[in-house]
Amino acid sequence: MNLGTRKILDRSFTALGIGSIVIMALALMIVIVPIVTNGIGALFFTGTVEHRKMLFHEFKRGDSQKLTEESASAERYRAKVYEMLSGFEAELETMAPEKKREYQPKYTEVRTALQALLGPLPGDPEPMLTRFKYGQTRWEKAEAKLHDLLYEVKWDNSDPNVMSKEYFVSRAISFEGTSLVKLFPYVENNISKMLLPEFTFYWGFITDSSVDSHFFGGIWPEIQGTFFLAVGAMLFAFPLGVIAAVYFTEYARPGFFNSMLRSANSTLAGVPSIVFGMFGLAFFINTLKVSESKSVIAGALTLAIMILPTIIRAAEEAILAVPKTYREASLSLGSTKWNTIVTVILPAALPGILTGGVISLGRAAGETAPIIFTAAVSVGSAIGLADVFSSPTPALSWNIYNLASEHEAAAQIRHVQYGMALALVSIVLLLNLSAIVLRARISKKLKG
Amino acid sequence: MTDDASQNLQSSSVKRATREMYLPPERKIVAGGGTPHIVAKEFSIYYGEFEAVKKVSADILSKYVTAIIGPSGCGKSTFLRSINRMNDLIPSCHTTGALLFDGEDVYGKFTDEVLLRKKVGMVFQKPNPFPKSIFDNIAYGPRLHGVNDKKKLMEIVERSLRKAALWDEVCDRLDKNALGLSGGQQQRLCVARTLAVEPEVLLLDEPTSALDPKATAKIEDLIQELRGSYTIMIVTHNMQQASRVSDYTMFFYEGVLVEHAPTAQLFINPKDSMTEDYITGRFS
Repeated sequence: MNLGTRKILDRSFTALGIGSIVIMALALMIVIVPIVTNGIGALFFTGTVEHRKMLFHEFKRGDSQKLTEESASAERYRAKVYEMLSGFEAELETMAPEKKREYQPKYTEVRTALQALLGPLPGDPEPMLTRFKYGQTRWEKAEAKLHDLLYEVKWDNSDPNVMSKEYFVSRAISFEGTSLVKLFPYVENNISKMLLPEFTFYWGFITDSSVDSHFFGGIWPEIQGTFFLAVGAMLFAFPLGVIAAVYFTEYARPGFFNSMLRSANSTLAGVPSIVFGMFGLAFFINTLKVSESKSVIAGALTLAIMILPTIIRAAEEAILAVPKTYREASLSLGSTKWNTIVTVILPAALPGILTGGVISLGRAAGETAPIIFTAAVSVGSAIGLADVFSSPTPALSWNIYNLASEHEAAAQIRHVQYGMALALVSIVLLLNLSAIVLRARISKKLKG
Repeated sequence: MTDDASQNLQSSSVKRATREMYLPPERKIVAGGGTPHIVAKEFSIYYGEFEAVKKVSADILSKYVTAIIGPSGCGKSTFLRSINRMNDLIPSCHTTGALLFDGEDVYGKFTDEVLLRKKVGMVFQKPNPFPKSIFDNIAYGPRLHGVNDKKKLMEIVERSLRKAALWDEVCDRLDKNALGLSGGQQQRLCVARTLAVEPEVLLLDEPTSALDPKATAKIEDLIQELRGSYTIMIVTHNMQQASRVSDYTMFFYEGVLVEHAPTAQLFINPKDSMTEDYITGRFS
């Protein structure tokens, strides 16, 4: 091959490599950017006075004097709305029966939209669910609700060959000629005075319990559950894995039995996680009866079994990478095999072993399938350390799925779903980052 | 001590008188030395089916320096490593015949190889300090054998480093990582680490092959210093080095011990033609 061809080949391979890296980076961006931007919205957003009311009543947090002032100022503007409503109700009583029948359902729609926007109206009974006790807590959602109040959604079915299209009709037009017609421009113009939006940093999203299945509040139970599960899994898997790796590398004699064990370990690493979940249910809960039903301990054990092969493999690689000369030096000084392993080999292999451990910890934190059967519940409060043997826990990985797909009002709590995804991604990223830092620090210490 | 060994002791003390005639005058005075420390009898080492060392019989005298020379793959390192059973690390390795250390069978059924290695220290081809501090490197052996008193450890560390002629260079940075030392310093550290266990025998497996001439000279000086206090065996490719540092030289060829004689005699007046060919460089 001549020089020219070689150069062209070199260049085209470089271009190919750069191209594939760029594609990967783009794919990563497409996944990460929405998670980050939307997830941050759970912490930083424009909150309304309703949010501050909710915080004060549900979490006893906030400046009560300021809140009273704000509520009073908001109520002054809202009072006029209430006045118009009662005025229209009186007008409704005086209308002819067929006109009344026409306006009554439309008026109910207006009331419902107003309740969603501002919270319970005067004369409403005390709502059972917390989500109905407050108006919109977030400004961007308040704006959407305002749109619902001002416009009615209609569907255009005129052309049977095309999918029906939605279009909006102003509600003000349908109330033409009544006293209520003034309500719509009034609400539109004074909405910010009724809700008093201001920039909010809701740190409680990380540390608060959820209220009314994640309508309000934070994700602390999920974070804590994830922490318990992942750390619990590590407590079982890490010592076991390191011991197994020491056995494989130092004690096992090469032979049929040993190669069987090794291939079993490799196979275990490739088993789908959902199978581990079913195994955990069948073995830990039904057979061993570590707990009555789902519990943190059952989930942690299942995750431990799942990450065990990875830890064994990483530890094995790390131990094999320790120079043979260390072993020789230690043995030649009259050290026993066990002593050599504990005082020389394991310390030298520590960076690799720890890296494998932390990466497995990240994997245990993010895994969903094994805990569906063994540990996760969709909604719950944070459990105490004493309850890990008996109670299940919410966990980030499972609840992201649950809130996004099975929640009764999934569309209304998008910010919580993204917030949870961001929290999980951050936790896993932090763990991996700490693995890198840890490795670098220990390696530096070993190299001198 | 078995009958065989005591017999051997007698015969070799007779031989010793003749051997000493060949020694340069300054090498004749050896404190308390002269008895055979390590005795090989029809000793063979196998790697699986392959016989790496063939029926070697030799007496290694106590407190003398014995050099082992020979071309690559002749079994000299294998023989050296068999003395403190480092070959145990190779699963396929086994031996026949007898190797006696202080009259006791090294490969006996009840031999404690850990105790043996405490008495027979070894320094390897490549400097191999642990990735720990200089202090911890030297203190590793004593700690293993039960010395935990900080003051006593400090004494041992200083004594060992002084013996290895390294104290002056490292006394102000004992807590620094040993891997930060130069190659020659690392190798002397390894010698000091071995000396800290207070062995009777020092096995040196090509200790200077990874070092520059200056560091090599220091190691050779060190061997001269230690001569008379320890039984030293050194495997080397460098024949000048063998002639400089050793009292006795063993020449191995293809697993066979061809000649074992006082160094001066072996180099000036070799009995075997193969030895002559090797030391004159006709093959290597």
